[in-house]
Amino acid sequence: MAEVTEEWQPKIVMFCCNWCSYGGADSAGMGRFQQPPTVRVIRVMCSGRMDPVFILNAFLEGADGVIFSGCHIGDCHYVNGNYKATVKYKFLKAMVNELGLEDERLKLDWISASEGERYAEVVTEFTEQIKKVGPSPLKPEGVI
Amino acid sequence: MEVGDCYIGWATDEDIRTRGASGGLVTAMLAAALEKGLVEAVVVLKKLGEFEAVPVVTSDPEEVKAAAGSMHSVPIVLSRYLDYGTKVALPAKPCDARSTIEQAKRGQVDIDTTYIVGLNCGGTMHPAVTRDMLDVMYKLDPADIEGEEIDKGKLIFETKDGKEHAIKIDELEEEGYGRRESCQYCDVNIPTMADIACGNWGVIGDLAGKGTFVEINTEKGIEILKNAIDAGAVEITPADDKGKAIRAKVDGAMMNVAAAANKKYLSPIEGSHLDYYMNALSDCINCGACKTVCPVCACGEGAKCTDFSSASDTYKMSLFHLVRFVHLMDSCIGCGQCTDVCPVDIPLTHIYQRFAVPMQEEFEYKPGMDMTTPPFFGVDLIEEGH
Amino acid sequence: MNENIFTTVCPGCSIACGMYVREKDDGTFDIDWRKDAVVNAGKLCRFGVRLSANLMNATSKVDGNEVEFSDAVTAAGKAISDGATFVSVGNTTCAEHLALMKLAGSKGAVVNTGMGAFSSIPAECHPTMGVGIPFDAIESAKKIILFIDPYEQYPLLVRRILAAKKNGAAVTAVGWKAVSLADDNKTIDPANYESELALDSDSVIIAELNPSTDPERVMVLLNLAKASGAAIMFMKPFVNAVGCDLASKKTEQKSLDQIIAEINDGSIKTLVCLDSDLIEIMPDETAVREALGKLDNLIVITSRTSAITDVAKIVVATEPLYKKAGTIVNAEGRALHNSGEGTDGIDAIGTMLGQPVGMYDEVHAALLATLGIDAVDERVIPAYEKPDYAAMDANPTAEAVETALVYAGGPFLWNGMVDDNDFVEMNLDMVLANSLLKGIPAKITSDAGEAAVKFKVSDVAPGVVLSNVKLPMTTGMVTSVTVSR
Ligand SMILES: Cc1cc2nc3c(=O)[nH]c(=O)nc-3n(C[C@H](O)[C@H](O)[C@H](O)COP(=O)(O)OP(=O)(O)OC[C@H]3O[C@@H](n4cnc5c(N)ncnc54)[C@H](O)[C@@H]3O)c2cc1C
Ligand code: SF4
Ligand code: FES
Repeated sequence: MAEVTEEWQPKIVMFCCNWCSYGGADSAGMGRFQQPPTVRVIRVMCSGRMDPVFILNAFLEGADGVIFSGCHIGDCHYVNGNYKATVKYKFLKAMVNELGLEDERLKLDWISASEGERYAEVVTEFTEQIKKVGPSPLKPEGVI
Repeated sequence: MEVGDCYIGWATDEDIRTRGASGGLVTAMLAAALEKGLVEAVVVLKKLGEFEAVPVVTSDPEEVKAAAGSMHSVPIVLSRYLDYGTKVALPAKPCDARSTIEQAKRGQVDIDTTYIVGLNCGGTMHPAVTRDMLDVMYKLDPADIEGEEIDKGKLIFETKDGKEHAIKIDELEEEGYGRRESCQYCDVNIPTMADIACGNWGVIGDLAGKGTFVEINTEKGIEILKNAIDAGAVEITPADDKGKAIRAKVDGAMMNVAAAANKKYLSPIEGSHLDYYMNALSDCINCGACKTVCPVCACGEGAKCTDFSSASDTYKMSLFHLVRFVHLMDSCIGCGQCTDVCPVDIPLTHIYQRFAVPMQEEFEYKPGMDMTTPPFFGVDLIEEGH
Repeated sequence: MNENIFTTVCPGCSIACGMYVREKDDGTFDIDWRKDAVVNAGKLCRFGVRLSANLMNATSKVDGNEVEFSDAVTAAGKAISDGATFVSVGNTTCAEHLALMKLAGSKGAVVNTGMGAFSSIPAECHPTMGVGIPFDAIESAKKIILFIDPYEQYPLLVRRILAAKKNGAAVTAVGWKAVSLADDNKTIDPANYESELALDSDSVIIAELNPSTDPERVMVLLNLAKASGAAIMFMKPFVNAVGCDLASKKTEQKSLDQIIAEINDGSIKTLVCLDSDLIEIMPDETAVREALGKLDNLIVITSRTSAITDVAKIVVATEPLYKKAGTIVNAEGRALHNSGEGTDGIDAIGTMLGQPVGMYDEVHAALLATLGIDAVDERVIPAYEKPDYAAMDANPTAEAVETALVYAGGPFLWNGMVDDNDFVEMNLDMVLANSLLKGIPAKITSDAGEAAVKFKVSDVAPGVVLSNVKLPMTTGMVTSVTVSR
């Protein structure tokens, strides 16, 4: 396992829905809001498309934390995709906890296309949170 | 005859009645369903030895009749053998019935053409454990056994010389024998989800040992019982209140025992959960048997758990298992099939239950009890309050 | 609607796990778990679980054309001349093997089981090399030394070794790759086995004996067992290897390499293979194919379609193993009887011998006599005598290559099984040194060719590229290769 040094930057995988959160990421960039370079964004059409497999796979591939985000409740482009995401999140949270992975490593958040600043905040906060818990115990050998 | 009615019934054929576990009612009903064309096929156990039997799908009433009797050392779930579209009947322990219903929700079984003849169940034993137990606890040679029976909390073996040998099940289980772990904490004894629930609890007086207690749960239940009565294969008499009360009381007592076992076996893991799970899964040889035998999994070939993982993965835990952990959180009925077949003896059912039970409690959803869909299937907007 | 149930064993390796085969009306079959099976309580490895997808019945052929079974038998009977060479490695019942021995005897020949080690090691060692110990005995060993990778090669031994560990056994693995269940993974020079392993009579040594095993290695292990008093078990990749070895006259046998050499120098013209596909069994596929092409007559009596049935002059197709009447003897020496009643193979060989009836009873009686029993009872292991033997002078060849592609046989590939183990394993240093990247296959090159192969990072010995399948550039159990991106 990698040493936790001051320079250690976690690797975070963030799934953003096409219609809101991905736009949020864009706005954050355009608005030049400060954010740490820890996040790899993966765009999915809707937060409802999030499959538990994606999240488990991210962890197994070496992600230290995973966020999945979509439109605010009521705003989903596909009506109720984010309700579905909520149910899956509940299951995943329970699973991650029983598995013994720190609770802090998984987060669900709603970010709209116009919330660039909030996007940067979420990323910054989550990065800090992950830095506190350290590298994921599921990180494979040889992966940094 | 109405849904909710309780009767004591028996096979009119003397041979079936004596060979049957209680009254031969189940066998007579299944055979009559075939003979009268109510169904095209029946799933029954083909007996191959005192402790072994294998499920077969058959249209031959003789094969059904040969299957009379309960096999407590045959822990197999029969729902896996059902084919969509076939008009079929099956004897069903609660786990058989519950998994049949879970399959129906997933479009693998047509519930309208499937007659579930429920059997009360207090648990099954693994044949290998039974043999060891006979040797160590009963000091008997398994080859000398000719019959077995559970009566008043005792497991009784009958030897070829006609003698009976009884030991209390509690005592056996304390020594690590007896019922499988999953059966010890299973809290469904009467298959209320089946079309008709049959058992020996509540059969009292003269009929004790010669009659089967039946509770009608659905219209289909009426249909299959009436069919057998019309065929002259079965006779019934209404169950009395005393019998009903006894049945309910025993059921309640068993449920308490199961709850205690649940506490004992599924008590929280001490120390690092991650270490526990990594260690438990480290011997997995990727055979996939656990998924193949899983009676609630409806994925078949090309499932997420298998398609996204490969033997060449270098992950610290197998993705196959992680996917199955989530996948089964809302559907695991704890039948124990996966543990039974795992070639490296991973206590899989135990593990799945650890993930599933808290979620099933949180969603107040118990799989296989009725046709209500599991939480993962859809989102009830009204319930969410929007 | 009707289903036929056959009680049988998994044909994958010499463990012979119990299973049921369920045959449907339409002739397709499926496996089911036989939880009351004495061998492994019905538990099966990935090969057993996928058996129905991997077994294809054979069809009778003469000169590439499909023919009736009886015509194939007649053609084979004519083609099998004096001087023919016979091979049966143990993929079928004792009855068929014994019948073939009778046929071979009538032509003045023996049946070769392909285990070359038997002919170069003194006869008093054979009982120890043949029959192992009961699997239950593994569970009560105090010390277990593994010269195999149980996970990959003999998966159903894993649970036995784990049970032993629970009972307090210490497990040491001496092999190419670290085995996770071992308390200790070591690489030891064979000269130091005795001093470093410190075994005694409560120890169990588990090794493998296959047609490509170096006899000198077998001798080293036999010496180790003798010196320490430890029990030794040689696992074999063929389900009935032990039964066939017990029945055969081992000292007169040729190794498979020798047979190929004699085909190449023209002294073998006719080869009869009973459920033995040399193309699949031997590491250098290309060389075997070339040699088989030089035969005048290649006669294959087999239950399954495989590489060799495509090149054989005559194929006599018999029923699949699960349907055969007959007995299998597994690595423990346990005799296991099929519930099936098929006698295609016996009838075919009997007809070739001019004895179309009564053959089964005769050979089955011969088997019982060999085992010293009155009837087959799967729950009782016949008593075997294992005489003492003298220590031998052994010098196993050291493989002095820089990067070695090691082909570690297992139950799957001896039967040519398609599986998802189509990757090689190497350690992280090797991956870094050769600048391999995750997700991009490694290029592996030998004199015989090259291929891009998926790789997996494992705790493998330095300089070793480990493979559980034969790769296009494989020429032996160890092939000198280079690895690049
Ligand atoms: C494992 C087991 C435990 C039981 N425990 C209880 C109990 O605690 N209390 C109670 O009241 N009743 C229990 N029963 C039910 C009871 O033993 C009788 O099956 C029931 O009373 C019906 O009797 P019968 O004579 O009408 O059935 P039969 O005419 O004897 O017919 C029995 C049918 O059940 C099938 N069957 C037998 N064994 C199994 C098995 N292991 N899995 C699936 N199907 C099987 C047979 O193929 C046959 O078709 C249990 C049954 C089983 C199989
Ligand atoms: S049955 Fe056991 S070995 Fe096979 S895949 Fe499941 S957990 Fe792994
Ligand atoms: S589209 Fe954004 S959550 Fe569905």
